[in-house]
Amino acid sequence: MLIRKPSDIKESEITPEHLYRSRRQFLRLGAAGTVGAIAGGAVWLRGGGGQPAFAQEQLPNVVKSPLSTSEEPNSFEQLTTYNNFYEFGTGKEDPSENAHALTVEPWTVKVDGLVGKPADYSVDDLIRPSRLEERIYRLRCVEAWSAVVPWVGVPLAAVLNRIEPDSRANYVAFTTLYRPSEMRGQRSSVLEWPYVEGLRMDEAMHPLTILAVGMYGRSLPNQNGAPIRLVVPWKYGFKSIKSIVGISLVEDEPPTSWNIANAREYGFYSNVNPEVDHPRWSQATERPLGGFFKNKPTQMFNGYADQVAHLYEGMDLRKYY
Amino acid sequence: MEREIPEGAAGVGRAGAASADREGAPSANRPLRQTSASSGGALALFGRLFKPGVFAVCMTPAVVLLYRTFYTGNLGANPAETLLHETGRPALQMLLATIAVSPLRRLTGWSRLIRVRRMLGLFAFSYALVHFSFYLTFDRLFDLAGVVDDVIERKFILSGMTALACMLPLALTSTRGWIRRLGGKRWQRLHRLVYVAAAAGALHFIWKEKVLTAETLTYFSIVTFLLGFRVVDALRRRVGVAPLPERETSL
Repeated sequence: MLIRKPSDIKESEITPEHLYRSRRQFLRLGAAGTVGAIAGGAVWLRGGGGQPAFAQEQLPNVVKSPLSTSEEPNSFEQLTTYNNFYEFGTGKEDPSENAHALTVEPWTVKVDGLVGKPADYSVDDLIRPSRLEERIYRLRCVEAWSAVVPWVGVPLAAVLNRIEPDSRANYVAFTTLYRPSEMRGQRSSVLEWPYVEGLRMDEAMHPLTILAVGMYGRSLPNQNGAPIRLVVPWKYGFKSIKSIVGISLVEDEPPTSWNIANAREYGFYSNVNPEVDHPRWSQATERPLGGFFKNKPTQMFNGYADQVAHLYEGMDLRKYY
Repeated sequence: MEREIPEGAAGVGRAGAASADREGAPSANRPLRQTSASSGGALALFGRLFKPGVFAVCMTPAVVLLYRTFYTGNLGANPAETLLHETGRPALQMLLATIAVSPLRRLTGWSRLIRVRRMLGLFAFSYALVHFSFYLTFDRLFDLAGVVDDVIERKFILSGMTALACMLPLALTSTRGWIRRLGGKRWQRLHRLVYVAAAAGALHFIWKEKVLTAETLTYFSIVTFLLGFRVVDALRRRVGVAPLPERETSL
């Protein structure tokens, strides 16, 4: 899959918005159920590659990664208007409407705990020694929708190695910014703030795990977790914590936000698993963003089983959900 | 043994009158309205436009959704979810409006309110039915066995299905003929199912969200309040205390 850089597109080639909008109307009417006539429509997005992100800065020297999927990414518009980022509201469109208020520059990530080089790092200091890679990953939300996202980032392992983890460190704990003045969702207590997440050391060191700073070749839009976020593609989306201000290496399993909110429904591991349902809905199938039908079978570890299944060998995944 | 005083705030006579009025049959309200038309024109106009107004408000979510589906094509990144939300939400809202009619009429004494109750209930049922159809189509792909599994295993689906199942007989027996056929008391007792439907619908919305949100809590609080109102009212009648004041206005 080749993503055209926005700079490669001539001004004359860019579809005017009104045409783009009318063109993607595509209807399909369907079907009768037991109870009566049922209408359905389908929106077909032409060109799939999405709009260029004019607001975001183009990231230089991004190399493609062999770890990317060949699946077609969702459009930039879809990925930036449909987000779960409760710091900006619980509605899917709230982050795109409210996240502009967030100041991402300057930004400091506090690294502490069982590390040789604890310090306050800028995003640049943290990632600069590594080469930026484009990683096109599947994303599976615990709510049973899914997407394909062209992230730009660096392996978390490289960052962790640079901060020199102590041998006693078993887990990595992450913290999101707490700034209710700019993150209006934090003014209500739908979750305990700040948002916290964690990974076991071997999960954190896995080559698939990245710290993302961009998407679609450009720096991250605020609603997608700017300026730096975690991406763990074989776990449900909420594990991939956004707008990180703290990375701490610890001995014991750290608390995680959704587990605090509802331990029965959200475990520490939260690996994508079609056989372990959410108590309130099935996880066997998923609805790809842009599509109508929840007809895509969910894959074990979101399709990354070959690479990550060994991490959980011998573990009862019903118990450690 | 049947109780002396019917608990339903709207007596059968009134429900009958409302439907009779709708069908153009003579009713006690008619001359009163004409009297008030001569005394207060604006008020009477408001009274006359009330029912069409409520109808227009109830149609709005459907019109907006049809417009978004077939004209702008803009149903967002997750169009099926949009269709589900934007039919489920109005279904619950109209269901709550339906059960709010009796207490509101009681408190305000504005009897014309009762004339929109059946319409509100039928709108609620219609939106719920379309909502269910979208679920059956987009989520379950017409797999009825999957629906049964969902109902058995998940309180989230069970609650929604309960609400719909409770509304079905109410919609079917909403006609004047059925009121007559069932007899007032029995019809009224059957139609108390609307409270089960409203409670189940509010729970369905709560269980749909990962966290308690202001919106879902609001709907749940409204149901609780209205149910509380009915229970207190019924208890007052049973212990012989005068029921909550019932006023009639000419509007």
